[in-house]
Amino acid sequence: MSWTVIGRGPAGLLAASLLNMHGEECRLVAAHEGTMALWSGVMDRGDPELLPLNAEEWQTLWTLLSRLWGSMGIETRLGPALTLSCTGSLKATFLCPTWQYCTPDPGPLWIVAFEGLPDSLQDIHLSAIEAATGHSPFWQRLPRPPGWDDSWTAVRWASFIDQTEGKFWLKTLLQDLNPRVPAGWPLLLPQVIGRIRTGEILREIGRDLRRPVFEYPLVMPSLGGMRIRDLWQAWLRNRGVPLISGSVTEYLKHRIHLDDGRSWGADHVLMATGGILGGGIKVLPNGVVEEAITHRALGQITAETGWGPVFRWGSEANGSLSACGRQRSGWDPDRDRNGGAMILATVYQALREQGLNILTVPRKGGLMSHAGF
Amino acid sequence: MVIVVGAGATGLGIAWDLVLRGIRVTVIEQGEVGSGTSGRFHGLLHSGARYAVTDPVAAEDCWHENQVLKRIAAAAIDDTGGYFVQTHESDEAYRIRWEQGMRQMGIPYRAEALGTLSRATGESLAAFRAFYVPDAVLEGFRLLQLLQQNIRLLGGDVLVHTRLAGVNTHGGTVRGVLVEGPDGQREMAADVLINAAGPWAQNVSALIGDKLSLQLSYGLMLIFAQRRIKTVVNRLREPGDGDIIVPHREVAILGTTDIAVDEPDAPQPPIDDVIKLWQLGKDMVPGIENWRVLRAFTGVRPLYAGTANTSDPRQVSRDFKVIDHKTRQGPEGAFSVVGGKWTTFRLMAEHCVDDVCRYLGAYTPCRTDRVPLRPPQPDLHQPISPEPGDQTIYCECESVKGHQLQAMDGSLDNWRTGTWFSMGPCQGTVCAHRAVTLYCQKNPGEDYASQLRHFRHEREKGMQAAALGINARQWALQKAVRFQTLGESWDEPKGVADIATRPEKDSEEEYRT
Ligand SMILES: Cc1cc2nc3c(=O)[nH]c(=O)nc-3n(C[C@H](O)[C@H](O)[C@H](O)COP(=O)(O)OP(=O)(O)OC[C@H]3O[C@@H](n4cnc5c(N)ncnc54)[C@H](O)[C@@H]3O)c2cc1C
Ligand SMILES: Cc1cc2nc3c(=O)[nH]c(=O)nc-3n(C[C@H](O)[C@H](O)[C@H](O)COP(=O)(O)OP(=O)(O)OC[C@H]3O[C@@H](n4cnc5c(N)ncnc54)[C@H](O)[C@@H]3O)c2cc1C
Repeated sequence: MSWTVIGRGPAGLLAASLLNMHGEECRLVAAHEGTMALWSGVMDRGDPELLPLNAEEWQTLWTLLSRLWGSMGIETRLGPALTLSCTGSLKATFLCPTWQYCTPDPGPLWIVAFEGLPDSLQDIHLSAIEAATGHSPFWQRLPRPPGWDDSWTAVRWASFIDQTEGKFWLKTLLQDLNPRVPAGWPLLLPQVIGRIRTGEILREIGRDLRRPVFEYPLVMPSLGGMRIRDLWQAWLRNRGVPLISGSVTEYLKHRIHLDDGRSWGADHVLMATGGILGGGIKVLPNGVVEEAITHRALGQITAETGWGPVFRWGSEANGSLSACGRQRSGWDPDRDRNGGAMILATVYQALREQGLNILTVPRKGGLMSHAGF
Repeated sequence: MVIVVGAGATGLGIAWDLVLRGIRVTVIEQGEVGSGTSGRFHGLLHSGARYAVTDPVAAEDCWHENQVLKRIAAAAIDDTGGYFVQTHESDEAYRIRWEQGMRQMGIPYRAEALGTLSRATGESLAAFRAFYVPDAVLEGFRLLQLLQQNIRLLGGDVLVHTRLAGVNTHGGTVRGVLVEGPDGQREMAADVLINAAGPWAQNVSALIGDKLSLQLSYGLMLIFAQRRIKTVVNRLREPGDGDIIVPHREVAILGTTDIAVDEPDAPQPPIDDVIKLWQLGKDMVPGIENWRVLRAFTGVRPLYAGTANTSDPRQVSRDFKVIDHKTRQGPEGAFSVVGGKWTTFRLMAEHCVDDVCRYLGAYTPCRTDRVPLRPPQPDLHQPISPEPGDQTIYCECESVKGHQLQAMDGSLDNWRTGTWFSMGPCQGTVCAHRAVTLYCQKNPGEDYASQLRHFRHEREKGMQAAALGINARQWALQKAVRFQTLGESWDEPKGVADIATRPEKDSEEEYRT
């Protein structure tokens, strides 16, 4: 059996990982980076009542993802919890890397902003945090570091802090402030604390200040998602999964075709192509909405359709082709805040449609041992 | 004291003319400066060529004013030049009449070789013949800002968020007005009242007690990213839909349509018309299907048919008219200015103020064609040399820095039209929450969540009407950032049908270039 996964977003990466763990031959092809770098990588569940699997199945899938990430070196916290946005809202999430602040029961906080980093949490957002947690945070803005200029993006900040000079700049300023903040209050820093050495730096600062230290996520590009993406792709490469760059134009008679003429055979194809945002669904200038790979029309936007449903139009199973992630019809993580659950459920469903049921594997020898954990 | 109703091109043009002639004036504006049609137009400084066959009076006025404005308002004009492109041989008869008209009116033009046309315009066009004309680009908000600054410098007043609610007359003569402002209702004394309320002029004339009947029509325009053309491009044929493209700062705007409406508020752009307009653009610019549309918007033309009765808005002259209400059944001291174009605002003001001077019995000659409009303050639109203040870039598309935002006054919408933040390809996806944060830091009374929500709605209206092609992806990204990253409270995108038919009352300060 040969498989091709189209798309390098979270759905494609997960599908390719599961196939690899089950000893299937799989190629991963994508036109661009998926959405991983656009958000912090926390996986939301939304309202469990609305989800299509039973509690035990969910438990297995979530645990699987957290162990998979663990095997890449990404430690996580699993379970319902709140995380903080850079504009002060507390947001429900379910699987969260431990570098990011995330707790079922938010208490008093020490929040730091960096001058010159536009998405740093600002003073006007403190009242929202106080209203939600019942505690007024201690807030400070650190002055711009030497050498800063207006071209510094979040990625540049992170590489600065990855270096000794940047880490020292940060530690010195924090040590001066530390005595003014009550003991035990966790410190929250903008999510630019390194791209590579994040865990190490956060632990080091934590030891210095004798308090827990976390990041709060910024908007985009997002270092949290980039770290996961980089580790995930490296994990796949190490295990021999070919990551191919290219744009798929057609899947016909069990062959994948790319726009540059390359083509190969595939018995099963997973379309993890991301829907409208990912490019797997095109809204043409004439208002026709179509699947990018099969060119099947999903609908036509007219004065009668609403926009709400258009963002829920999508693909399902179609012979040896199955859709997963945001490409799958019926899901709307913007409305339902269940992006992570959508990834897990649809990848499971698509693999199953194509003949691989990852939930029944344990009976045949134990999922986790099979998966190599 | 003269009270002018409306701070669009016409109202501010009149106020500028008045202060230059030494007459005291206060302009009252119900929304922001430019929140009417003057902030929602196509951006073309006409050379008159468009009207050379169909509307010679408007054509002559446009050509005259084109030359004047290039002289006195150079800071707000991008003198790109323009082309008239004949796409089909079948338009020959029109072309011949057009050339005759151009020669009669003395509007300069010259034939352009087809071989050099795409280099000159920056885009390959479906052209059978092409002619160069002295069209240019008028930066509407920029010119309104210049007018307002210069009016204030000479002692005139511009009151925003102040609505005319009533007119006091005594013995058949205007004595004052009743206005509703941020501090409630109050009376203001006035010797003369000038109605420059654009498409709302009929409502204002009703308050005067002599209702005019306007022939309102709205036009739809599409904004494309990346200024894909370098000059104005017009289609050489009878004026119709979708036959002009204007480069404007970093974008290019395709327009327009001409559809009769009853209400002066700009309607939501209907998606079907957006699709149709885009397809029409292909006749002249075949590659336009691959351009990236950013948003759609509409504006309402305050056309005045006078006594002529026609149901086709394109048949109504683009000429303007100054009406002295006492010559009809209205009071003395009340004037209305209706019709016209942005291009002819100065001429309209000149005619109006001439009449007002005669009424006041003290004639002084008009000077607006000679006195240049200069920016009196450090100019936010020019590159700023390094100076203290927040150098962080908050809007990446338009390179807007913190100190530029912090220097703004007034509403958030003012910040937007003054700095251009959120006007680029991402339409505020990355910067709206940042700008609202700075806005709330500067205005501690304001509520972050409701300011942001209102702002998102305003931006989204134009975006969703044009959520086609890459712009649909942009909108999907914006939704993910809003609801998943920032945790904003959920808004179901409205039905296209609802938004197409229901003009929203609070939507006046919709975008415009
Ligand atoms: C701004 C933002 C914030 C988010 N925040 C959260 C959050 O807080 N919590 C959460 O749980 N989730 C979050 N998400 C995730 C979101 O809910 C979705 O789950 C996720 O974006 C969907 O990923 P995907 O793998 O289905 O598609 P994508 O990540 O979009 O990947 C699509 C892939 O398909 C490829 N592709 C498409 N067409 C072709 C083709 N023809 N040929 C080759 N390749 C092709 C693309 O190049 C890309 O690699 C966020 C997403 C975004 C964008
Ligand atoms: C789609 C379209 C494209 C166009 N393109 C071009 C072009 O390319 N070139 C060109 O030269 N012309 C163009 N025009 C024409 C031009 O834009 C208008 O003629 C011009 O802007 C009208 O300006 P105005 O000041 O008369 O009206 P407005 O700009 O509408 O000003 C009237 C003001 O009065 C205010 N007001 C109304 N009622 C009250 C009240 N009771 N109290 C207080 N204030 C009140 C309103 O809020 C408004 O701000 C276009 C028009 C349209 C519709």
